[in-house]
Amino acid sequence: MEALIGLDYIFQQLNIMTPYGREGLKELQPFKIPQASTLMRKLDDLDLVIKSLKGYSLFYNRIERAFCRLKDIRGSIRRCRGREALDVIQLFELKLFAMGALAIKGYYEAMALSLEGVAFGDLEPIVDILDPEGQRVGTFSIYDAYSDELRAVRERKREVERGLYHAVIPHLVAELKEQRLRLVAQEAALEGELLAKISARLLPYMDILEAACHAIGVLDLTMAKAKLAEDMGCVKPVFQTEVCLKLVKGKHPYVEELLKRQKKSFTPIDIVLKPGANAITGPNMGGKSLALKTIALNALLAHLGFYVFAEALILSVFDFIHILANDYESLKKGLSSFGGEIIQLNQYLEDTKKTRGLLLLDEFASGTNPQEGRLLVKALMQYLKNRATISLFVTHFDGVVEPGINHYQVGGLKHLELGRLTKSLANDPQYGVSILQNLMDYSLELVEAAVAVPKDALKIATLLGLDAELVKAAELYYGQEV
Amino acid sequence: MKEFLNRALQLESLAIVGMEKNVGKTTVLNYIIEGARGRRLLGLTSIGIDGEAEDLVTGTEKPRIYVPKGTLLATAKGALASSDLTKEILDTTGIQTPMGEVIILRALSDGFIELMGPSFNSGLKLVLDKLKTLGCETILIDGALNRCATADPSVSEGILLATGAAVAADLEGVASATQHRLQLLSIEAETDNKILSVLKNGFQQGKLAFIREDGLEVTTEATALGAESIIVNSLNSGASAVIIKGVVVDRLVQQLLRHVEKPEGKTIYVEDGTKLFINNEGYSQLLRKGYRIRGLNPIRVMAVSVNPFSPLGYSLDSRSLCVELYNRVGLPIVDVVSNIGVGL
Repeated sequence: MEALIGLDYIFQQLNIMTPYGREGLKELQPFKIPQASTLMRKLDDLDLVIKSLKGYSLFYNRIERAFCRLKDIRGSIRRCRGREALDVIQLFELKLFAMGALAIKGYYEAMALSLEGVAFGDLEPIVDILDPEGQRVGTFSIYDAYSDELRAVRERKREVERGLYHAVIPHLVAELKEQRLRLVAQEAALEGELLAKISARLLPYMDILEAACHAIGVLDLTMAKAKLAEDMGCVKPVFQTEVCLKLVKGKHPYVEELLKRQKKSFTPIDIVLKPGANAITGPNMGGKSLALKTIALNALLAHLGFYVFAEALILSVFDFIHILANDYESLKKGLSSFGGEIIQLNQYLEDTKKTRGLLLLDEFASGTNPQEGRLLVKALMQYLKNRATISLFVTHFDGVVEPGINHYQVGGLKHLELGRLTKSLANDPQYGVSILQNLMDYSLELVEAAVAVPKDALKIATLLGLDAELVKAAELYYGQEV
Repeated sequence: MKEFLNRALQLESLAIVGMEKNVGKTTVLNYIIEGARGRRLLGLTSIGIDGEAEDLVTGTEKPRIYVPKGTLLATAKGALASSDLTKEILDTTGIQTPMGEVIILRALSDGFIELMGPSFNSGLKLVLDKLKTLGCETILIDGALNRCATADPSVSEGILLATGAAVAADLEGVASATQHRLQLLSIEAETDNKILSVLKNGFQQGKLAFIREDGLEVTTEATALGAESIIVNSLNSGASAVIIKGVVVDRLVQQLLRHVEKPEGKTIYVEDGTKLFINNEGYSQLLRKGYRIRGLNPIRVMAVSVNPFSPLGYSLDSRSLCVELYNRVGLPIVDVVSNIGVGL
């Protein structure tokens, strides 16, 4: 679903710097009704960070620099917990991580933000174990300070090496080389023992290290979300208990970006959805599907604790956000797109019986014959009309929206006359799509009475260059039936 | 010989590249390392795979590299196991090799090391930068002339070419082969700025490109190997130059000599002289027909080292070989074991 509504585009814009932040992003799940207070806290925390970005920019810069130098120690934590001895490079990475985390802790606590999930234990003892000489330098070696025996062996080895440097007589050289090899073996053995000892001394601190990894992950992700919200002008979604979804000037940032490249602008949408069935109708290419995806994306972002792309979004917490759209997977499973839709729908309907959420249906039942399709849509709308779940139907079917159902229409082409359309066509026949986009009114209008869906299909087909003879033949039929 | 050492240690980076195995590359490396003791802070790394402890084909024992305390090294984690010095870990690089991640460390004692550095250009540049930042005054790169290596010795300031009796059966053979290799390594670099920017684009965008009157034409060929007919056709239909990213081999040379109609003034561009794997005869014929062979990156060969001992058991007369080489190529020639230096 993420790819369908463009969530992965948003995630790609996030500048996450640590492997811990990346893991946090991967594990993100939308919050449900029982976790509402946690979600509120997440959004409040995000607000805190956004507001402090300017004032504490120096601290944030230093934290980001520390992020860049952090190594991934999760493998080492696992090994240590498994009672395995770490090697000298893993100890180096642990030391650098602990020192980096200490620095980050310092800046973070100076900012007094108290974000949920971001707390650092005492990391000093870890650095002390890995820095017995108290140098606080970002390097590591199995220091002499760990063992007098080791120090002695190394001193003797140095003496032998000095002797080797000056020696010329071959048999003396050979003897010294022998001595050296023995000392090398002793040193290696002592170092091996020390690696095991140091790893054992570090074992009690693995929880603190793991907690630090988690804290850094949350901080990294929150900072990335905050920067994104600032850069892209997002707003804080407002959650309330009354079941509703109100979107003011909602946008889809990916589509907006695409349109900008073509020097076009995105038409933001305003909509209020109520519990039960809601509908958006209108002609093809009128932006109905995009409206649905815009609503889905922003609702999902809100539930993931992100700021949203709108002037305002007021909504209730949903236990689920489901989209029923054309499922390409159905083909693989041997089902028609209609078959796949029904199976998905069954699962979603089960959820609507158990709890309340947001259900979005994009052109439901358009994969079967139109007569039955219409009736199925009509019936489903009635079925969902009195549920607590907010369901939104996007459909091109005519006459399916009964009174009492919240009904929107896209502006479409109704403000235009066909004559003007064909004139534009004569000038630029290949740019039919582009002209269509320019002439289309993408805004949503609330419809009071049971208004018929405008019969724009032929207009649109003409604009896209449908053969003139065919258009004439169609008009004849239209004359008869319409 | 002091002169040779001085010159080597003046460079910021020096790649030592052997013509063959058993040409004494490691011996020269150890010689320079020993000469730098107490004088210059050295950094050491290698391009691609270093020699194993014993050469598997000829069974000769390869000397390992012995470094003094204080030397900085960039080598793979797996190679550390066969190093016997006391070490301090300075940094990890994230660069992967068949023997694990490349680690940067400082020698806290003298000792033997096994070098296994990055095998790609970008990795090598990163390692050199890190070593420089850590204070290295001269960085020695144990290199390889290997048609498969994408590492670029022109990343270093200079090259020392190691040659020896292992290259050919007699003095004349060694001298000719070495002279030819040096000719190839020393091809001129393109100096015209306008052409240079076109060249850089060409090398960046693809593996095979052509310069025509109306500009650069980049093909989608994955390699120049096998694309001989395309190259011939393009040169015959108005292309003034061919840009080849990768190696140039004898087969292409033969095709060019046989089928290109008006070769005078046409240019073959390669990244640098190490990408030319063509025999003496073919190279001379190309030049006679009027081809220009130019590189994007110049290679500065600062000296040639000689190992007069062959792995097959015999040896050549070192002084004669050094003199002969000097007469042919005009570069400093050294035999560090016999303490002979010509042209210094």
